[in-house]
Amino acid sequence: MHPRHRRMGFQINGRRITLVVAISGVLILVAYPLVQLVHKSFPLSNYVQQLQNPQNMRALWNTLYISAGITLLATSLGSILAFLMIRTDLPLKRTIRSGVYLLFLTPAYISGMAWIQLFGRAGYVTRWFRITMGLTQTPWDVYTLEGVILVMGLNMIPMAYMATANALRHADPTREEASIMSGATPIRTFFSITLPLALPGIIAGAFLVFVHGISGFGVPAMLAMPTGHLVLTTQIYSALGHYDVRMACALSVGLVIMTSIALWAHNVLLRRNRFASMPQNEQTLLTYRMGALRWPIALILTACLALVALGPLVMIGLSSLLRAWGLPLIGSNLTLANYRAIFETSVSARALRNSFLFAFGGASCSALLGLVVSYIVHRTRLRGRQLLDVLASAPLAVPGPVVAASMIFAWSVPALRLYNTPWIILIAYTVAFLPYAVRTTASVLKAMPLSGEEAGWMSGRSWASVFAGIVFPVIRRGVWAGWMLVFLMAFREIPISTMLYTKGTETVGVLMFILKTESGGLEVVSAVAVVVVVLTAIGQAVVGRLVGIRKGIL
Amino acid sequence: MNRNDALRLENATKSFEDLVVVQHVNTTVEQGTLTALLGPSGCGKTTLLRMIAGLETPDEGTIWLNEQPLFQDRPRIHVPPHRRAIGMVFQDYGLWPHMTVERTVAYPLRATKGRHRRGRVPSAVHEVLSQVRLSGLENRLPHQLSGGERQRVALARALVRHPELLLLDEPLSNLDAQLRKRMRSELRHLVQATPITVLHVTHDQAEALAISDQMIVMSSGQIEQTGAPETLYESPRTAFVAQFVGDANLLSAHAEHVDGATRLRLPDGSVLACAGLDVGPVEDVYGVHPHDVSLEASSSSSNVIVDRHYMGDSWHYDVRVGDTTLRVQAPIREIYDIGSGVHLSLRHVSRVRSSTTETETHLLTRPNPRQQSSEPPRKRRIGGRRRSRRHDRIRPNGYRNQSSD
Ligand SMILES: Nc1ncnc2c1ncn2[C@@H]1O[C@H](COP(=O)(O)OP(=O)(O)OP(=O)(O)O)[C@@H](O)[C@H]1O
Ligand SMILES: [Mg+2]
Repeated sequence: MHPRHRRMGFQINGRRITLVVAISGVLILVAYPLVQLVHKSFPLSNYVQQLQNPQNMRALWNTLYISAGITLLATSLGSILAFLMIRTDLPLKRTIRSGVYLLFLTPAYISGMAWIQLFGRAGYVTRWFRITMGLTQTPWDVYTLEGVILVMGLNMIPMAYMATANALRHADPTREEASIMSGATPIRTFFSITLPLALPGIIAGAFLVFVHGISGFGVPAMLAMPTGHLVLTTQIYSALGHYDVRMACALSVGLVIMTSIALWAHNVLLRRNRFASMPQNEQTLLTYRMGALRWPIALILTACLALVALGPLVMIGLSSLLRAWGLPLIGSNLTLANYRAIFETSVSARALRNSFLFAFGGASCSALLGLVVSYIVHRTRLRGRQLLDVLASAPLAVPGPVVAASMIFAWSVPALRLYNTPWIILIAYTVAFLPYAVRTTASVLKAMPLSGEEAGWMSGRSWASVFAGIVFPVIRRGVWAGWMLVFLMAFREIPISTMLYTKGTETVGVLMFILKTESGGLEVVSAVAVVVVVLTAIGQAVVGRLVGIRKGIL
Repeated sequence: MNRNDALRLENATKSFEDLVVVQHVNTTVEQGTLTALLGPSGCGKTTLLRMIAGLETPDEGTIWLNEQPLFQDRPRIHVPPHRRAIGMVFQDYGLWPHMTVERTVAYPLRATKGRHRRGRVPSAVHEVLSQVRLSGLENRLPHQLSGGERQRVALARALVRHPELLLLDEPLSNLDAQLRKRMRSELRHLVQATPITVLHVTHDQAEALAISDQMIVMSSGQIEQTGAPETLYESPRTAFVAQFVGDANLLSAHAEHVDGATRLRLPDGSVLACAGLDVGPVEDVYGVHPHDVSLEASSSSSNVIVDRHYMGDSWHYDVRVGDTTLRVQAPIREIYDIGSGVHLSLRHVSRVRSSTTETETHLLTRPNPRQQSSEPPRKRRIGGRRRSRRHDRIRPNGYRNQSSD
């Protein structure tokens, strides 16, 4: 036999082994827990029974209500902002972009904490307002569904912004110029050309926001649960709390069906967008001249963003320095003791260490698995690769509380008793964030021409040696970026660890969720939040360096 | 200003940051004519067109359309583009992917509702669609049309409002050679059939020569020469025009009369006999079209064929004369082998006035415009004060710059 043929044969075997390992890994990690969940939700009569429970129906309507509100708020504001930033000659763009980026860096839960500290019943703004107005009652209440909509909606502006900005960057300004030359005013041009052409991208973004709205757990748990407003995610949490397995499973499956439909719509809209043209140069896109309104609009936007993006961070930063939460914000009440406390007292120090280890392990596992999966999906013609792709991206449609629930059912069987050990959190993180690792790696892999690899094989190297020597060095940045993204998401994540932790495996998310530590209340948790935000900022900067996303994102 | 001038530009200037793209342009376009705006890639043709359309604001200058000022720097007048009675066809057409042919062509009518009664909208649309031979395709979307059909939709959209001026930015450059020829004659036909004025940008000199009544040749943001195609071809005023429009050989030479005949003496001492040159003994740059050179086999000649290309209807020879290589186009029956000696005589020579030796060498070393036009536009600083004065002097009467007056 010709030596090359032998090598080809070996190469295919090597790939096949990898495929088998990857598919069985993904089947066990992703598919098996979901199958367990569905299995435990049967028989169908259970669904009927759950739907007859008025609490569940209320939770369903509330979920739809807040998600619709969040989607409307984030999409309208984010799209207008993106239009002004991408298509008009607005000044102060760098400042405005930094504001959006700041909003992007702040986890929704942390903004929620800040909003409570500002506008809650004992919040600083509330107290100031009551005193100056001489009121005994608070004129507003953040512990409502509308409060959830406001906090999450504002927090998801960057997501909607990115979707619209991306659609607008692919606009072809010649189309607007042709409209102008046909005698249409700029306003008519906007409504008959620019908006209809960007709409598929905007709606695709709206579906993504909607998915995050129905999956959200932290903010509804903080703002709506205490006053008895139920949503599906918090219902699943309470069902697990009193061991109502059938309810938890039925609601979980229902939630996943909803997110899957929305994600499917999102993908269809993105893929079928026949209106997109080549991405355009930034300068040529500035079709709309704002004239005398340029500065007023820019200043108003800057002020609003400063309030919405910077305000919460300043509040959190200040309260993290307070001797005790609620004290007046004056110099003599400020101290660094809270930061010393979180690193010294046993629970919070342990939480920081645990979160770091879980996030590190989860990021490493999903980056590795993501690398193998995306290589198989995008670089081989092996049968079964589509299934692998679908399975690896499935967790995108599985909200955190559902991941946690499925892990509990999957890993409490006698043979595989991982529940109540640290391992279950590690596995849950790997599963929940695997799609992000796959996508980041896949995007760099797709950009690498196949000829590089083929040249390696033609030079007589084995598949493994080409992968290690040629492919990996090229896509390394994407893999590290995926690792970093997963690490950041896992480090600040709340629902999974909140539902899976036990004594000794507390995480940063758990600390933030119960809003207190053994050494203090909100002021100490604020210090934890500051650590999370700073870490996120550093991590995102690293990610930006690695794959140059910073400019692409915003 | 001539009463028949539809469009007039005075001292129009535009720069992007520190790059001067259009510099002190003065020109007129006569009513009812097809004028070609010609020049190499990046010379500012599109920018000039967009200034006329109002999509780009000039830094200074004045633009009139049929006696109405569209733009004036001081006192400020700026008619916004959607109020100018100008139709425009973009290079990549700018069709709207979500609109059918019919909606696309009706769009400009609805944009000016005041001037058209509702009932008339469809008939005007169908009229113009049949004019561009698109009847029957009313309900297609752009992605269901061929390149030529798309181009005609863009043309119909630009024509449906009966604009006073039609601007075309290389509308034929995306089409294949056959379609291009057909569209060319359709454009020509349109100008003859309707009282419209057309300004047509191209960097294809053959196209410009073939269809236009008047040509404006631009280079580096300035107008080199304006005139009828045959004038530009036969009597180019600058070396640039000679080379760009006529693809001429440029010879820096000394013309002299000997025994009643005229000859060109090249700097290296070689001598070329020529007819039809009516100049005194003077050192200058001369342009010779490749087809104005006749060849005759001569084994004693030191001029040799260095290369040849078969073109189907003719032979193209590169002939070495001293230090220069001349491009010669010879009839298909005149076959010479590479290396054989030939005797050359020039049938027609035009004197290309270029007064400073500095620009002469600059122009002589300019790369072939065809190659240049395939290059992406390069960022460079165009022109200076001195150069612009040189161009003022050689510009035909009536198109003189204000700055030099
Ligand atoms: N918006 C802009 N910003 C900066 N420079 C520009 C801009 N538009 C055009 N230019 C530059 O101005 C010069 C002239 O551009 P223009 O598009 O007018 O050339 P053109 O003659 O139409 O070329 P082509 O034949 O390639 O279409 C080029 O060097 C180009 O890079
Ligand atoms: Mg152009």
